[in-house]
Amino acid sequence: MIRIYSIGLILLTALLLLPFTVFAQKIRVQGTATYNGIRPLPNVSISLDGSYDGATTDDKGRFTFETEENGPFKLIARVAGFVDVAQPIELNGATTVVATIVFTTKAVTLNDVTVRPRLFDLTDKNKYTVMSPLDVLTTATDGNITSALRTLPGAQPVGESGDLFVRGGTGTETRVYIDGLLVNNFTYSSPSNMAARSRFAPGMFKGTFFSTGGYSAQYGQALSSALVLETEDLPVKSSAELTLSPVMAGATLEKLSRDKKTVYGGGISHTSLRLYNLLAPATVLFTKTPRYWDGNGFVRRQFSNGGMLKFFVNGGLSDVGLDRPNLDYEGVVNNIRLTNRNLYTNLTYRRNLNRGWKWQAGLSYNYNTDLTNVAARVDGGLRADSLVRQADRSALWQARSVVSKLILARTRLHVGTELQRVSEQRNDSRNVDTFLAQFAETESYLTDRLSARIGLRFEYASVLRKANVAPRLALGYSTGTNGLLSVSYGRFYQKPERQFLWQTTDIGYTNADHYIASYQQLANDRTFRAEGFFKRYNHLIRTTPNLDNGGWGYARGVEVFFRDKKSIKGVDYWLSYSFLDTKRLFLDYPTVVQPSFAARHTASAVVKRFFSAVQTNIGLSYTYGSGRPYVNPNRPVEAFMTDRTPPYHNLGLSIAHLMSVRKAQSVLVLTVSNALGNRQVFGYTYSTRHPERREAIVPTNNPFVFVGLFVTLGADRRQEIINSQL
Amino acid sequence: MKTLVITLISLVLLAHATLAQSDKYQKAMEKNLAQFDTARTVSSLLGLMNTFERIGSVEKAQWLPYYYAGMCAMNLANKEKDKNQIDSWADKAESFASRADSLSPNNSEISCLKATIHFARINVDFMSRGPKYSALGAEALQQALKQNPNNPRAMVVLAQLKRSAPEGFGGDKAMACQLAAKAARIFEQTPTGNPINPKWGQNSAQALLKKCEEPTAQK
Repeated sequence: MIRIYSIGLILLTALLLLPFTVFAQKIRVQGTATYNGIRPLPNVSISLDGSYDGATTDDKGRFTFETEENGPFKLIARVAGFVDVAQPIELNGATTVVATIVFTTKAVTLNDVTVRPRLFDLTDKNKYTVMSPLDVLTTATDGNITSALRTLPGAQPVGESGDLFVRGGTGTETRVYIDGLLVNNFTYSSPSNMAARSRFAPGMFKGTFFSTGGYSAQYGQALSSALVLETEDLPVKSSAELTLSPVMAGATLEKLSRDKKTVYGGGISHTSLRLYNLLAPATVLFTKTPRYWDGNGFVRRQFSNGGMLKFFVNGGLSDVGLDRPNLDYEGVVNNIRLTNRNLYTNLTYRRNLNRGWKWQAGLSYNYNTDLTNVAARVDGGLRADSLVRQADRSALWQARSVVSKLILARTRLHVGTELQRVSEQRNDSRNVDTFLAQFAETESYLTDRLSARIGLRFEYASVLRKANVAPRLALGYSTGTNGLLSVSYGRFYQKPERQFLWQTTDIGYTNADHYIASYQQLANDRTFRAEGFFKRYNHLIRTTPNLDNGGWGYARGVEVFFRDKKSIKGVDYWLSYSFLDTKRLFLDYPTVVQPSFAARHTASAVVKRFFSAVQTNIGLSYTYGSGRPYVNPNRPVEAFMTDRTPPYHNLGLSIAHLMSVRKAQSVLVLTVSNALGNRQVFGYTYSTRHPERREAIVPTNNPFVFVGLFVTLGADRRQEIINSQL
Repeated sequence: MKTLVITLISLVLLAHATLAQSDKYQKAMEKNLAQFDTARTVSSLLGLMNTFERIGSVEKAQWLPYYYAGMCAMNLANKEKDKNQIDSWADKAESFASRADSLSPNNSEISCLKATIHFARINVDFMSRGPKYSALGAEALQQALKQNPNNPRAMVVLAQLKRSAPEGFGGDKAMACQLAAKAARIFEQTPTGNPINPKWGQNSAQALLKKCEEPTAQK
């Protein structure tokens, strides 16, 4: 019995000492980790599966660690950018075990595919950051997205219009998409030669992608450029904002639900230039100063399955009346009155489906009415018999569905369909188009450095009874860590504008071929980009001698962009230059000439700095455009469009001061466009009866000064909770 | 008798194995935390992050290894000079924080870690990210203080936020000083428990308090 107890005691002692005796034998594991046996990989996490033991490789890819484990194990190696490596390792006998780890496969997250060389990505997630929504707000001197984009290369300084004129294209060659859905009438309607502002506030969008050419097959019907806007998702907290200014007043409310999955809200604003016009009369004689009423509402919900639903509605009314001297008859004044009503709704849903598919769907409705009355005013009285009424009504229904999936590990495939029903009416002329588009596109890594985007887009428009197929191609080659060299080609089709379709539908699509080569360098807070392009326009619409597709044209040029947030502490600046050589034969042009909306040289400089001591951000922007051609009827046909306007100079100033108004976050904003008051002439209107008589087309307000106070009321109780802690 | 001995031995064996395991965990954590307290370089933080991750992958019920791996990644995000890389460290830190969160839900320390990760993201672009991520960070701190009203670390981080944010955007220098003082008091009064529990923050509280006492701070 005692023997048994003693055996038990001995055993017990032995057991207690077990860890210090049997496992005390240490084994050293060492080795290297490389990519394909050549490039040593630092920062690789090496671990002996199921134990604490392991190490991290040094700069030369070496690692070493000690272990007390024994037997067959798995050695696991992990590092960002590569697929994990697991290999068996035998730990017995030897005091040193050598392991050689070779990574062979790069892990590709398709977010990193950078074959969009021409996209100016304005979101800050993406590496292609050029501007953020905040940049838009501090760059534009009028709160317009398009004005901020005009400081980027490729956009022309066409001050008499609110549209974007890109690389020798007209304003209608740039189309705007919100969450993938086309927006007609992105800007308010305005009388001719008067710039109109955007109907959408820049703060609505988290991302602004401005493509100046060669854009994806996911978009179409724009010969020159696509502006792709993405709306905000869920905010961090509920808030309310009040805007007060001599020219406008507005209020918006954004309410986040308790579970933080739903946000809803809306806003209204009213803009009137009445007071402003009294203090600083405009260059035109307003009989009704411009007034705008805007309203919007939205609901966004994140579902438990990860799906995101967004609904958005935006409506507006505007009204303007002005007198313009009739150049043909002395003493006669044309009174123009324009009333606009518009509505835009957008419903989108996106979610992940089974087996790696992602789905995005959208529905939208667009409605716009312009009522224009033009009457002659003689000796102060309106001549009723001279009244011309024009009622333009357009409506657009559209549906879109896109699915995408990661295929072959290195390729993302997008397939989509768009259906639109467009109705365009002027007085009694009306046409209706059913438009169908389908596209497929792949974005892939061919090798570690070479990426490609290949797309094909098919379109059919019932009004033209014609279909088209447009190929799109882009190749990117990464040179070193920050450089990207890329080339792209694409064909882009666009339906003729509505005023031609009212006359005849026996015409076809206009199209353009883009060839682009670019190089960009993206380092820490510094971006450099140089781009050369050639664009060939085919089948442009001519109105004389007959209305047909007999026009053509070309545009070629070079653009340089440099942005730097680093060299000068606290200062963010960018410089851009565009050289553009373009000629076209279209509309009533008798010969192939440089069109009136193209400046040969355009340059701009933007500089911003936040002065933290006084909580003030000051921004300056300067834009130069060389003289643009205009038609002078006094010249012979051979000299068509040979005159040039004076060069364009515009210095913009923006000051934003952060402050608190009764504890509410507030920003006091002062912006001035054309601060130096340079005379800007965009062109001339000539009298048809007396060609020696002309009128310069100038900005409506020069300079224009805006002062406004934006007050944000945080509708949350954070402060109270903190107070209860003290 | 024989069975009794065998049972006894088995019991001892089992208890011993468990004890040895928890002892091993405690020792490994203590050893690595000693390094963590003095880790300043990127390579040492990275090594520690990987080590804590390895411990976490073995100790499937412990939240602290992932918490510290997250702290290392968050510090790496703050040390990162390449602004394009900050988010990848912050993403890593966030994935560790959520793993810790799943092992220990409603933990004030983890909420506080999440707040510091949000603040790290602001460095990518102060002007455009400041409003969003400081609000997210403040919210995580609020959560941390709701979960444990006496978490001195959450108080210190909140005090730093209150001190640096502009007035009107949640900044309040007087409140920052009050919070720092309260945090310092809690640090002094709280007995040192298990040395592997979170204990950082005392120096920051003292430093902040010192700034509060300087006359220039009383603007």
